[in-house]
Amino acid sequence: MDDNLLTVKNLSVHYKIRNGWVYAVDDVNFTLKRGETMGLVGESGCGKTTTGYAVTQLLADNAYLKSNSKVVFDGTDLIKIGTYPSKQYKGYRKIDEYNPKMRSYRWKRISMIFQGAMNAFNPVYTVGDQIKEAILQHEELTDEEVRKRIEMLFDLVGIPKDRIDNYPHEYSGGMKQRAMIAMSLALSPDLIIADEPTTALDVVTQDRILGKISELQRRENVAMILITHDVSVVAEMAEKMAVMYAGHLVEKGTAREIFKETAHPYTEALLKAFPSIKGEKKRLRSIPGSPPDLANPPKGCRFAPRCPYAKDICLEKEPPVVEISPGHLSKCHFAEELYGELSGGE
Amino acid sequence: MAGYTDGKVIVKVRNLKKYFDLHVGMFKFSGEPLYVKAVDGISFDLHEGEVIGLVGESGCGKSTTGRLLTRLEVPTSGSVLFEGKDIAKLSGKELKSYRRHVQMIFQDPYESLNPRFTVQKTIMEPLIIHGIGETYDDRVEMVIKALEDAGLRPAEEYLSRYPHQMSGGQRQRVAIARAMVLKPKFIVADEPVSMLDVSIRAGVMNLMLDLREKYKIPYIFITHDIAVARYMSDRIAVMYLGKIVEIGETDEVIFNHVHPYTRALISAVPVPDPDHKHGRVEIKGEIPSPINLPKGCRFWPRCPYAQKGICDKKEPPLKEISPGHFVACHFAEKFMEEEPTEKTVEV
Repeated sequence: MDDNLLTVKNLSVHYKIRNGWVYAVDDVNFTLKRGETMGLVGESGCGKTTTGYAVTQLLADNAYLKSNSKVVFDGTDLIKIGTYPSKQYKGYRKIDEYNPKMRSYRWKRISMIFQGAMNAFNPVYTVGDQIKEAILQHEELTDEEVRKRIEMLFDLVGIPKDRIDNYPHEYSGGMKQRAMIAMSLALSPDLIIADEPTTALDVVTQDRILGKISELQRRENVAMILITHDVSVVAEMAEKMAVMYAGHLVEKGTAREIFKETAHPYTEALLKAFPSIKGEKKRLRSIPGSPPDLANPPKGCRFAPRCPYAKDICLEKEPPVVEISPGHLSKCHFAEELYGELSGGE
Repeated sequence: MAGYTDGKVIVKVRNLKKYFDLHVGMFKFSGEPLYVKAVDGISFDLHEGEVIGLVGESGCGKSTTGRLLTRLEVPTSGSVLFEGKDIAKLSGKELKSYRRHVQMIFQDPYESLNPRFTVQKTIMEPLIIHGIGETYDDRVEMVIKALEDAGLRPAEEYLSRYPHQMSGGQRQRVAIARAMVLKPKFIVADEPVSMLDVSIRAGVMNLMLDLREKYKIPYIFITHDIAVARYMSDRIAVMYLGKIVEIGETDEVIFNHVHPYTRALISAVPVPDPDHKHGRVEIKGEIPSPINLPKGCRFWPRCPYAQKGICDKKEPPLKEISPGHFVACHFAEKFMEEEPTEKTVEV
């Protein structure tokens, strides 16, 4: 028995479209320990949100998981519980939306902070009622106990108690986001999946909310998958980091390793394209071209058409995952040669 | 990049104000007049070839400032002088000519381009409106040149495309080409890269800097992202509730900032380096409503250094504390000498 809270193995999520498949996530592997934070970064459409949501199987109707995908949470394979073999498509499993066993995991053990809390609340119920609903789904408490719990949660995230009975439109953006965090903590989960939790917010509010999240996380020993496009937020929040490109996990390791000992050309390009307020002002490098169409991904390495180091083999063969040092992995044919050559953000 | 402020002044902004009346229509005569003071007395000069970054949180008035400069809004008072003329007083032919000389690049390239226009039609339209180019062929040539300048090569391939056939980065390049084709005297760019993905964003920012080098066009670059503002600008102006609280050369504002608000804002910016020690400067509460502004300094209710009797009584003027570096704070000189670190918490 390992001490990992979450083990994601060979996770592949493909979306069925009219004439074919979109290979949104292909063969993703990672693990997460209790209390650990992993930053999952990449550009829009790289599959980072699909990966995160696949853990709780909150995916669209046309999403199918490859049969060998495994999401082991606290010793239980959630894929086995929440999906069944598809009759229509061989080798795929379909999500059983209303599976009661799966529902007992959602929010109680694994909760989420949704992208754009602005729209994540129902506008016709008060914020308090919505948190109450989530709590009562899983626990039998009296109204008074629930009220007490919500008051405590609001205290944690720093919203005055007299705002519990307000409607979402009476909140500012930052407050809605904090209420969302309060809701995600309502049932003391073991894992939070935070999808761009601060993207729509101003820096001062973002800073405050990130501070709040890490404080609560430390106190409650909650693990977190932080999905974001902003590498600087990951640098600040996460000890582990995984970089995705076009449905593939291209590099994985500690945040330090990825920033300072970059071993994948895409990671290098991503870090070099990011402006910083620290250090010297250097000319940013943009990545030529645009990400591939995932309904029709390039043969071989998916980054090869945009990669400055690409050779013939990259266009032909999908690269293997190479272990550079324990825990630091790169999916590149030349990972070992390039390691040490590539320069990170600073 | 010193030296840009030595150039010719292109735009002179003096005590510019924009109040939005909340009592409109049938509420016009009800009760006390109620205003949102979106921009409340700002002044600065924009020089030839210079990029000024306008930064601040949402609702600080940075976008309204941009709209005032392009005369999409008419100022309540104050002036914007362009070639010696107050643009608020322009009308007819003069206004049309001004609109040729100032161009705007908007945030969302998905909404700022007409979905029914091809790229060629989009970029050619301003040429037709302003009667530039003798013949159709002349105009096509100008369109092609503008597209190539914007990095869309080969340009011929893009002429007949519609916006939906292009990526976000390409669309924003079309928007830039549309602004550049008129050879404007200055450009207002309102969050031009905030909708774009990281790898594409860098390309668009580099393009804008290259065009500045090539044509010496000054920009007002409005953004909420301070790291982006640092990369793009020669000078940065920090706005808070309709006022400029600090303005100076970019690295001066980033590294030697004096105003407590700038300090808080910059300390909140995440740094892409896991070894960076994050010092958080606490500021209290949320940004107040621009309808009921605090008396005195607008920042005092949130300021950790505010002193009763001074900050809540008198509004601090914008003072020059070192050459070219202006700060609106009663204690600017004091903060310049000593770093008030005691209220900074290491996290």
